[in-house]
Amino acid sequence: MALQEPAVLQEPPVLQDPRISVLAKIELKAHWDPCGPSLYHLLRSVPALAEPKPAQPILAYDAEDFRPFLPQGPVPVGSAWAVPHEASLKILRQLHPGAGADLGPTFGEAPGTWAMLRAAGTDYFEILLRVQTVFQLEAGVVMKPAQFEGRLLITRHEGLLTAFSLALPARDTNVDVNVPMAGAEPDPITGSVPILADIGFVPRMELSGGEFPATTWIAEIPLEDARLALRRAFYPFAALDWMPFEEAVAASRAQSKPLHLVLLFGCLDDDSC
Amino acid sequence: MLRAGPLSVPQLQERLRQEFVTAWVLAKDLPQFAAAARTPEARALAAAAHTAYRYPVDTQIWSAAGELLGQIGANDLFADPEADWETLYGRLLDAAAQR
Repeated sequence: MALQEPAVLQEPPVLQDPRISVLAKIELKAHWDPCGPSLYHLLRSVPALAEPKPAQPILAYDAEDFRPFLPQGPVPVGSAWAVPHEASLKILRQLHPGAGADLGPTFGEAPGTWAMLRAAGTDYFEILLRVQTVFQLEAGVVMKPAQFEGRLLITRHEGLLTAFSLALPARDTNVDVNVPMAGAEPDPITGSVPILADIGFVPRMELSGGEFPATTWIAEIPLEDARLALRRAFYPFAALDWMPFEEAVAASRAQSKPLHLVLLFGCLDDDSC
Repeated sequence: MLRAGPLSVPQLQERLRQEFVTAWVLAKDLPQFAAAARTPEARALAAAAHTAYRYPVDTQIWSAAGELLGQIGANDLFADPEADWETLYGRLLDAAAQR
């Protein structure tokens, strides 16, 4: 009798079903710091960036505002889905009503919202968000934030909103700004006004509410893996294995492979450049 | 334009995966790497890459020994809206293979 390979039994993924109760509500506070240094000091010439003032410092939201961020049905931890972008824009307009302006094709920006069920525990679900959008500020000024990273914590059984944050990651650089050139004549053919561009750093631009408690997860995706998956949902180029500079130089020598190096004045893996 | 252009073309991605090590870096960070990177090779390459950098977005190909094999600035790559940037970028990668 021939020996048979033991059958490999693969466990089906455990499906999770985050839901939001009609009773859920949360109050979000807006924080928007003045810009830090920028390459051409242009950011400080824009009043909305030099002395930013959120449109609504505090605003209350309910279940209907947050339900679009949830999956359509049960999903395993690590599953990602597209979110109706308008749900994110409604919240970002607490910072400025120009969030989500449609500028048409510009320089390869990828507006939208993606979400992932990053973790599930006995008490909570955590959903990670990546939101990319532009802001049409005053006087024709356009601001392109790198992205907003969101973290939504809801109670597993009651479906209540425990905590939420949606923040511009604090890495230098993280915003691009386009300013119409003062006194310039519009292009006679396209009608567009020449613009000045700059890129810089805003230390904090965030909407947040509730408290994130210390909790233990039954299943979770490491944060960096979840971030990479959401980045790849926006950008096909992110499918490549991009290494940090020093690591890449070492790998090039060790593998005797040439180094393909992209140099930029703003980050490659977000919408600020 | 670069990320939605050549860096997203499947054929070019496959070549980059198979034949190259890939990295991106902020040009403004290169002087810091040139001064304080952990290895002399990384310090030397950071200094040379910064000297050769073409604003605002540049692609450089470096041999494993630290020799600049080719480069193309995004402004040159996309200067002519009718130009075939996929072929231009492929030629840049070819330059590395021929050395």
